Amino acid sequence: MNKSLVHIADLSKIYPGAIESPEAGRGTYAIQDLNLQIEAGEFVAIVGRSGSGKTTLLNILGGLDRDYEGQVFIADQNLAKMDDVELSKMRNQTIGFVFQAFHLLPQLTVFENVLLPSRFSDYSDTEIFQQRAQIALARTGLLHRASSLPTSLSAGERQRVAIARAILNRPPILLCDEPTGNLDAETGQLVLDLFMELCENDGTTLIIATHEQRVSKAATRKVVLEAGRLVDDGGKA
Amino acid sequence: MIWQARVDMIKGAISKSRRHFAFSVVGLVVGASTLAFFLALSNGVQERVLNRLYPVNQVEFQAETVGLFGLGMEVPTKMDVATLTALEKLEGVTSVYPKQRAKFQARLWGGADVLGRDARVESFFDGIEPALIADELRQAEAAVLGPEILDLPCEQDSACGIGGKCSDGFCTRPTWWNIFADLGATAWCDNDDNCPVGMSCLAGRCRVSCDERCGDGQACEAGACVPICRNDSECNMGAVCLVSKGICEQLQCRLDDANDQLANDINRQRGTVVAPSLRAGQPCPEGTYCAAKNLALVHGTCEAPIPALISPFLLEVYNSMVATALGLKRLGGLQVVLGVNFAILFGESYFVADGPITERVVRRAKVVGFSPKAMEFGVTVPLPYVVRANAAQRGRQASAEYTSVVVETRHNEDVPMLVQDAKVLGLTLAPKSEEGRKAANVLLILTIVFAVVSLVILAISAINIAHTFMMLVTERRMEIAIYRSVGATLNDIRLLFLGEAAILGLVGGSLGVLLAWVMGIVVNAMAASVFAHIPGSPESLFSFNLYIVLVAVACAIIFALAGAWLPARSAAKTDPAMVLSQG
Ligand SMILES: Nc1ncnc2c1ncn2[C@@H]1O[C@H](COP(=O)(O)OP(=O)(O)OP(=O)(O)O)[C@@H](O)[C@H]1O
Ligand SMILES: [Mg+2]
Repeated sequence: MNKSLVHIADLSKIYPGAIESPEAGRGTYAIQDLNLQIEAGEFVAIVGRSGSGKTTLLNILGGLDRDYEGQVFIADQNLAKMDDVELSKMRNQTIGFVFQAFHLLPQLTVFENVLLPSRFSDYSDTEIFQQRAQIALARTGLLHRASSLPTSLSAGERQRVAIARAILNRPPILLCDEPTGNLDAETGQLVLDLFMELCENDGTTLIIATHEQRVSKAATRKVVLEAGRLVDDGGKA
Repeated sequence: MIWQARVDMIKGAISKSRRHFAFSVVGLVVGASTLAFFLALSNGVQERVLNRLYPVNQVEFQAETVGLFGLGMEVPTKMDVATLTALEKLEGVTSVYPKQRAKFQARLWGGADVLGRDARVESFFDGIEPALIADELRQAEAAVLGPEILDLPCEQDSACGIGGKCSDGFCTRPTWWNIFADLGATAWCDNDDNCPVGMSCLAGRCRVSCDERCGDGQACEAGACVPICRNDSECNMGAVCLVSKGICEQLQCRLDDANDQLANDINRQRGTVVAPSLRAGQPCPEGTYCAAKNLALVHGTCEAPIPALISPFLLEVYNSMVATALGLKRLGGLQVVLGVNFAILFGESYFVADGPITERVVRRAKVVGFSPKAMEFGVTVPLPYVVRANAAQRGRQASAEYTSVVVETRHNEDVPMLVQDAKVLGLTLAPKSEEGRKAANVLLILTIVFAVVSLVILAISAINIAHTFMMLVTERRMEIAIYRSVGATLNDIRLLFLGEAAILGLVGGSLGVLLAWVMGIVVNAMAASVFAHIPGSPESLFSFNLYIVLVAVACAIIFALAGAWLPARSAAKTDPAMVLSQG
């Protein structure tokens, strides 16, 4: 099979216990009959109103949510057919997550937070990981804060640390859920520049759920969700 | 995930939650220490008390007493050679050693050399097969006196000090264990009934008649079997080799006065040899005395003192109570008692009237060893002496029945079966063995009870751990979700929590063992003042070994893991998607 890097076919998701909400103009589906393909190196912005299913889609793509119908392939692999160990390995090696709320571990230093994915990898060459963590921090401009605790950082700095963590294992795909949502315009721009640099220099595929015009304009493609349905897949046929 | 990373994470998690964990560990410490404490106590009591009082792999049987219907009397069944033969064939039995108790009254006195003045006590005698204890005596002796072969090259005996011998170029110290044997004694008699089974009264002495066919190394002389020899050293101590005939002959002697038998002066005890003529006029040889037929007579034979064993327990009783009460000297150690001479007065008693003077007999004896198998309040001598004395005093029938029999088994586990089998032969456990079995059972039950109590404590602490971990899992949902998002597997999460629990168990168990050990020292110190007056009390009641340490630590770990089991599963079930999107 020669599929796209990300291949989604007839994806539907109903949260257990979700009730029909006619006033929202939709059924119980968080995602309904979604088909989407994303090629390597694309910068895809997923936009849509609150509750349209962006986070749900990202969680499914990242293998954090396995309870869906339809098929999702990442790098030709059917997520539904992977067991927990394989999915975990995929999250470790192939995918990096960036969240709106950063999700750094407060008890670890910046450097240790960045190194976190290395703990769950299968090999133990700590020196290589240390180097990579330094490089990642250098790219995000935070090497000088390596030994600080996250609580002493500003919001923008924390998000850059989270990005450094996401790229430690140099994953081909970054899944970002409103990465600039908690940042002001200026720091948000800094983070956006970082993403663009990653996409252009490293060929990282970016899938970013966002409300922000600035981000969706910077993207090479804009995918629009509405009440769990794909209403615009960004002009690609 | 590699193990080093796991360990690092577990360490980090523990140090982060150390307050919560400190509380959980306390429960584990208490449980593990209780377990270790009681296991070590039980083990210590078994090793230091029970096994000393009641030797392992060994039980003593006696004839069962049966009630005679309607007569209201209890009559013991008899234990004779046939019973012993049957016993030997039972499953698990390795050796059978009959014992015979003296069946007449006796008194002994002596010990002035070590006690300060002579002690006089009512005495009981037990006869034991020397083979039963030769090895044990030898080991006990080596433990007290050191190795038999000294590291001292020599060419002749004189280079080896008093009593030392030069053999194979090295000095050996004098040994005692080999003296515990039948050294030979004249068994006086008036008729066959005064003699043990297999012997007849020939010319006033119990002898094996030539009609019975003499054994190897024996010749027939005047109708009786006598030992053959080439020189004196092949004969008993009070005998000489009549080289012309090639047979041993006991030296005949005479005392100046019948009362010399009671004298403390060894020269008077030795009397004068009257026959055979080659030794006539000399005193009985060194190491022997003139043993008369009874207290009224002056004629006798030269004999070596009867070798005797005493129980180490007796020495402790003596030191802790008798010496104080009677104002006698305390004895420094078992070795002081070796070689102590005393006299035995057969036919005398404090409890019943003394027999007529012609039935009272004085014999010399010498302590040659100590053994837990020796009777506790009395003197233990080689079996043939008791058999001869019983025959002389109570008749042949009395000398043919054994009082008890010590049976050695291959394993201690063979004992219960053996007790069943022996019942068929009309044998029951001797009071001491019965006591030993009861004590062992009580100890076993107590150990089980306390082990169960310890396990209950551990179970309670497991519940406490489950509680703590449940709380921690809820508290650490975000952490778990983050780990999952960067590649932790379900197993990684489970093992993280189980690992924390295992460490708690290890720490709690180890501290518990340490605490138990300290408690043991404290209890020993407190018990010491109580035990100081009890003879035979051990220095320590506790015996820790690797097995106990492992069991206690393993139990702590197992219960900690059991407590953390469900929380670990629930940690793994944490839904990362939900937790992460809630922010
Ligand atoms: N855990 C859940 N259980 C039940 N329903 C859920 C759950 N998470 C989301 N939903 C519902 O699924 C739908 C899609 O939610 P989702 O969070 O994917 O939207 P979103 O586009 O990310 O919104 P936002 O922009 O506010 O983040 C919504 O109707 C939401 O209420
Ligand atoms: Mg969302």
